[in-house]
Amino acid sequence: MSNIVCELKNVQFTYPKSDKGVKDINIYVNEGSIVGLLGESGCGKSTLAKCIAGLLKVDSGELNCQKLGYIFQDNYAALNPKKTVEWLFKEVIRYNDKEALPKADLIIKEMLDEVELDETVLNHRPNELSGGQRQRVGIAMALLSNPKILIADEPVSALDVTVQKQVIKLLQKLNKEKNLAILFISHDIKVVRDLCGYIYILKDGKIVEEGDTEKIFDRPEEEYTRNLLDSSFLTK
Amino acid sequence: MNKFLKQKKVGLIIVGVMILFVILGLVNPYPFDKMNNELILKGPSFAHLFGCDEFGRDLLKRTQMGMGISVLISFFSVAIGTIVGTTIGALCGYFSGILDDILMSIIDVLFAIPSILLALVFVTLFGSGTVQVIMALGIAIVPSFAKMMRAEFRKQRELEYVKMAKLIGVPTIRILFVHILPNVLETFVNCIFIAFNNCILAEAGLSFLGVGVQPPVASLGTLLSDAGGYLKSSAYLAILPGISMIILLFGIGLLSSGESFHNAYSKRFKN
Repeated sequence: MSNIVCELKNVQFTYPKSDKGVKDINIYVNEGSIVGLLGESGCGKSTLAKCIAGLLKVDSGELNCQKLGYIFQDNYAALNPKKTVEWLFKEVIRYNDKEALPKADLIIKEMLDEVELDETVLNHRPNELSGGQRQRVGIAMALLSNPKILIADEPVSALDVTVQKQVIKLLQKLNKEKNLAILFISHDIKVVRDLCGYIYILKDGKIVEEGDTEKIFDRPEEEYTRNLLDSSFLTK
Repeated sequence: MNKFLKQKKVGLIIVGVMILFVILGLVNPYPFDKMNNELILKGPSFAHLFGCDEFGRDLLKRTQMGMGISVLISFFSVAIGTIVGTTIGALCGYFSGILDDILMSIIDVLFAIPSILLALVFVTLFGSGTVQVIMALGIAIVPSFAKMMRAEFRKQRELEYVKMAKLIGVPTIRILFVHILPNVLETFVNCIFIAFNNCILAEAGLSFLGVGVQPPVASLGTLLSDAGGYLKSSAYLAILPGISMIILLFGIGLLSSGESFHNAYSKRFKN
């Protein structure tokens, strides 16, 4: 059995002065697996992602995750607009492994090869890059901290179809080559089906169904899951 | 011609000329404090371009010196106000909570008191003099800086690049001043120029009231104050330092308008 790299037990979070949030979340992600978190907009996917990353403090429950990298939904807002890509990369290296800073140039070069980016992006600011380049920079930043698991919060929703495919291919490659676990959060059913091996369905902040991708798509048990899949005409 | 020069050219030229005017004062042969009975209230001439004051001192030399003193006082006051105000604003805007409540309550009280009155209270408590004026004006501009910066930092802290920095493990102090500050630079720089102008005016006001720079040292305020008694007979005593001050304020005002230096310079560099 594979090692679990991230596990949530009865995790609960509610926004102050609101009843919105996530309730009784139990999920786990195995080493080297790609797990999907699927649900309609506003169901709490990003809230859960932020809880896992520690950006939101959970009210109760257990959260045990190994070192994680985070890919933001809005790659334009997630990169500091006043800094060059090189500066951003070095900032990650500085706070991940200070001793690696003298060989930062070499590490950055290797990372650029890994995410299939040209060295010319280094001197550019995020607003001077295309959407696809920015998302690759975001992925590279997440990878520079040598994570065991990547939390990908709707990483392709803001990209056009062609670039979406390239980014998904890249995630698949990283998953295979680095045995990197990925928690892929999306409302795009097709993308989740193509990429993930196991899926959690989230509704109003609660996991309503889970299972292997084949089982979820072929034999959904919950009415909500069926409706969700019907909406994209992907059920058999 | 690029946007940077188009927007700031006039302001830069004016401020540059005024700085040159002050620097030339260093080679002006007339001493700023030497009285001369024969030159009392002598109007402008080739020997004394701005004329002489009621003690026969060269007004050009005193205007050059006065402007230099006013600019230096404003520079140090703005430095104090900027450092203290930005730090308070950044901490309040980023953290919120009880720290924000306490600091902003103090700032609100200070904000309600007119800055010149605040400066007057400070000078009354600690005595008049250049250092006291610098401290008083510095404290007087802290509230406006703190409020502006708090609003900007509060807006920025919700943005995802700040969350990314937190995730990376960047220390808070670095997030505040290395990650966020460059993103609020436009407001920051404009605040500095506006505060600079306000300080020059406030310093002139304090000196006019007799609690600022003490004689025989001159500042723009003391020159205008001293000219008060001679407005009918020797109006040049007020007009020439007054015009010098207006030109300087106009130049700095132009620098604070429009696009920030940082943005404009970045675009220029990129082009």
